Amino acid sequence: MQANPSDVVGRAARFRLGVFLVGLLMALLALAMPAYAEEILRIPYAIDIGTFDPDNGFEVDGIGAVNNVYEGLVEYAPGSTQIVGLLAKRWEISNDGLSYTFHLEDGVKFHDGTALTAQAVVGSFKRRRDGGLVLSYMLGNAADISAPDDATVVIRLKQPQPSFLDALASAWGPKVISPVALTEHDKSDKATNWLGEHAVGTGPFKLAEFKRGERYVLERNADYWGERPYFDKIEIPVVPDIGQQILKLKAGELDVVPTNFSFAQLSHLPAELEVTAVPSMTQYALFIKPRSPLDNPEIRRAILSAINPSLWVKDVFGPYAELSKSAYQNLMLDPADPIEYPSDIDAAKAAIAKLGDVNVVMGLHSTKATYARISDRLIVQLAQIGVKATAHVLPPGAAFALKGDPNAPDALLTIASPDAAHPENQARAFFTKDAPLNFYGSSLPGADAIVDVAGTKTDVAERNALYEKAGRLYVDAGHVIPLVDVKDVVVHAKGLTDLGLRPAFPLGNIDFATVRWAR
Amino acid sequence: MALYLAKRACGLAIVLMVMSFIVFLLQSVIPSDPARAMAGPYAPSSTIETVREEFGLNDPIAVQYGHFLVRVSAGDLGKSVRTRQPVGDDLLRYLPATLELILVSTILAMGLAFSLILLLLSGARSQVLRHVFIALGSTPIILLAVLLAYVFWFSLAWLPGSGRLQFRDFVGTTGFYVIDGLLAGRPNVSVDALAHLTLPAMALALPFAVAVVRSLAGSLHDVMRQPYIRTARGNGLSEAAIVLRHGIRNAASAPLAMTGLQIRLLFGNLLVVETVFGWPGLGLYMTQSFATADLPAILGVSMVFGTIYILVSIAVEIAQSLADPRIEL
Repeated sequence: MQANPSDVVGRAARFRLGVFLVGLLMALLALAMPAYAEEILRIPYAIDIGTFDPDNGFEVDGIGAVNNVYEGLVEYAPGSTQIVGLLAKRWEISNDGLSYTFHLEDGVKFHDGTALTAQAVVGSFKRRRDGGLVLSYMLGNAADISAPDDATVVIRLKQPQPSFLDALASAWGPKVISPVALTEHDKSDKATNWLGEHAVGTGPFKLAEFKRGERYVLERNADYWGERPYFDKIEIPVVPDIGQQILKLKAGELDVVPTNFSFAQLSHLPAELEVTAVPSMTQYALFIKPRSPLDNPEIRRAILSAINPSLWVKDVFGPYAELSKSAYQNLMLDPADPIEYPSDIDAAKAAIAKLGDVNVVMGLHSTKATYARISDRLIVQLAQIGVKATAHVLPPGAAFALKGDPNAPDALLTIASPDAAHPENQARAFFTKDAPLNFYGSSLPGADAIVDVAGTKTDVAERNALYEKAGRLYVDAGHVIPLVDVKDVVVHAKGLTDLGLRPAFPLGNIDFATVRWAR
Repeated sequence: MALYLAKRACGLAIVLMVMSFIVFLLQSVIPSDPARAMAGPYAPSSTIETVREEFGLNDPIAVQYGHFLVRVSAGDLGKSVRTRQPVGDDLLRYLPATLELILVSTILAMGLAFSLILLLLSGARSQVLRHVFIALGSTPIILLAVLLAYVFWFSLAWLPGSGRLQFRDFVGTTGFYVIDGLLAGRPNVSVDALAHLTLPAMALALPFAVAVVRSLAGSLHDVMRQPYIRTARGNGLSEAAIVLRHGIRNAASAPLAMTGLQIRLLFGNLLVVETVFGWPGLGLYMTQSFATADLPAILGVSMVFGTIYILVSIAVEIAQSLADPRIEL
């Protein structure tokens, strides 16, 4: 039987139409795929998050996650120490420097769907200040926190504090928590128990999973008031061992190793990995014990000649560090008169030879490999001028117990980095008599008096000149020897960009709201 | 037996009290300040004092210990300085992972020990393999763990190198994922859990097995020269039957004691292995607690490990008594 020509034509037309439709469907699917494929960033934490409560714990590795879930009034702009608005779109400071008025962004919602109001900010800030929580000191100078209307917050200080905005922008600065969550979960404990493992903030990400010892997961906040983050999800497995982190990065199971990658390995990374390095507030310094051999100016000068960081900085850090110019981080304060190390090794040798046996014991703040690499170089350098130096790692927490300890090492090698990018924070944390990190309890009243005056100045040039002067006095008196400022070095898969690293934040704290794959 | 168990229960209580007191004494000699670790390095001394008061850290050690005993008698192990959660809750969260790892590594160790015994008995051809096992078992635990991870996970991609489970949505009822997978009718979960268990369990089991086998080999060597063994041979029993029926039973006392000792060492090794493999158990919890001088947490884990160890010791003593009736309980 012969086929009807019209049937043949019809079948052919239907076939072509079918092929066209299938092709169209596949093309649509192909177009739709990238839109629906979930973008996930996988970044390890070496230690668990102790508590997710932004007011009640001092997280270091985990603070990046906290700051992507909660937001404060202001923040440091990525890559700089400039303070910009976050939940506050603008602010005014009264002429007497005592009153700060913040005007809130419109349309901000908490992750539970309730609207951000000035009363919520007041409630959160008062919780931190008055709740007996560990980070209360950051609002210790706030005499009154009030909300004249729904969109305005006024903070009145007890005394002028030009560094107050830095306190608010600090990685550990006060954040805003949903008042509904605070009320619902307050079991006479300011909700600290519940907030340890849950979170209701306004940030670009929500805390989706908190599984101690295993992983944390953040999911993009679909109702975020600001710019939409690139990643849908941030997976944070707990990988305590740095070796495992590196192997997982190389195996493609992770996208980033945020910190502690060995500097020695950075120059020969595999082709699929790359480094992002930005200036940070990490300054390695030697703090000197009073009445140690280094108290003698002659010995100190000789030792400074030998430990001159320009002799070893490249060996230890490659291109990822620079010489410290003052007792403050180079990024925080560019001194008019930078520290210059003496360089006459022969004179140093002669001085030590004249003084007889000089022994120096260095304590290393932690087991981190970088401390050992620096101390090894210092020991070798000191041996060249006849100083016998040794170094040992201090037990965890021992650096905070050196004050008045006759058996304390002669010098402590540590990282001097403040909690905010203001010289006041550096001086008050490390150098003044009652500074919590004045490890040996050294005292220099003249320099402290200058810091007191500097702390009242709002003119940046004037205040910096005063802080520099005080810093120079601390260095010249032999309280501290600044060595090198080290960059924040993050190793990641090629193509990851806009990491949003902030110099005043702990190392490796990627901003999940800005990071993305370069396409 | 009942008297023995009652004595050992009293012993357990005394040992736990002494151990907890030692941990408390450690607090007074180590320089770490939990309050500083909790509040951060920048906190002023007033904040540190507040935290110290809140956690009772300013009280004399004896007073703190008294408070601890009162709390423990009510089943309260205190609050972790690091996690801010009750230590009891933390222990319950981390314990199943550790118990599962201990159990699997002990089974694996016994299997390896049995294989090694067979190798030892099979003559000269197994010398190379025997030496490989002994070399692996003698390697420091951290090197062994890293080596196993590097070879079997990173290089060969045969087994997962860290974590406990790839199924993130899975929530088990017992916390033992191998069993939970079966209970939930998801055998793939059990298989995945076993795959994740293999490398950390192997790292723990190898030195364990080698130590037990060395001990057994020494004992067996002596036993096989005893007159009753010659008599058994004279009666025409096969060598295998002699070893299994008379040799191992009479030589069991020393390897059983070694098993108890190895389980004690296992707790120390857990700290290393769980850290290398990111295993979310008590070892990892303990390691992180050390860094923050989290005494309540350290104390809690010590009590758990101490209890397990004593229970294992009791089991070993009973097993020794059963193997050799001359040993009285």
